[in-house]
Amino acid sequence: MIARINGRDTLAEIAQKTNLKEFDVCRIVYGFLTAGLVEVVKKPVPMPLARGGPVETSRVKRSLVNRIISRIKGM
Amino acid sequence: MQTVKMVISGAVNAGKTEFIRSISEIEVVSTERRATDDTRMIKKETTVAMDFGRIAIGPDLVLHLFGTPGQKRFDFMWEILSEGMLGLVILVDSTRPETFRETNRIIDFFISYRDTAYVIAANKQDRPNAWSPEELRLALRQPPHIKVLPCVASDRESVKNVLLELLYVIQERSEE
Repeated sequence: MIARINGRDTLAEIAQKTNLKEFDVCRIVYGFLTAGLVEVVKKPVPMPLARGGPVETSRVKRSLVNRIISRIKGM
Repeated sequence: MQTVKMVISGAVNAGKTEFIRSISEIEVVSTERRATDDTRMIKKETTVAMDFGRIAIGPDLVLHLFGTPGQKRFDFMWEILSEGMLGLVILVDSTRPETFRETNRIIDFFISYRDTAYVIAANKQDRPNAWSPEELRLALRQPPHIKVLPCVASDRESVKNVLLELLYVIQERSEE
């Protein structure tokens, strides 16, 4: 497990390569963290995306959002 | 079955677990454990991995609500939980200004690498010493277009209102 931590792979990628669940990987890595064996390296921060750009929220169909709004209103 | 995800984040004791409990149709899957650090001065148990709630929108669509842990040492969970989220609610304990700096750090974390639709919920507005949403906007240095909403996380109607306001933000940015 510790051999898979290389400063480049994300936790999800480590889970994939070790055939472990992502949650189990997190639990193990947390143990390493508290023991001081590893440190968290943040991904490089990309330039902020322009509004209306190809991002998760803007890919959502308005009809889908409208359905969720109707459901929440009706609760 | 299509699922959409919303994330509820905020500092320790902001009311994230309660927020999800107020609106979820299922009993919230919670990972609360006995607090062992400074958090125990505030509450006995704290979320260590996530909270999970669910609202069925229709036979083919489900809304998942994920609550993040508030403590900084669990911040590696934030990125995992926020993967593919539709929107984000940042909860603030309006009665504890000492948490505002941490709240800012959390907002920065989420919006620095994603163009995330988010609103800020000024929780515990039923307490006499709560800062108002407009006072919180100034304290958190939020621009006018970001919604800072009054909230009482234990009140279902209040939680509904926050989710609806977030959905209106998402609606404005969605495709026809």
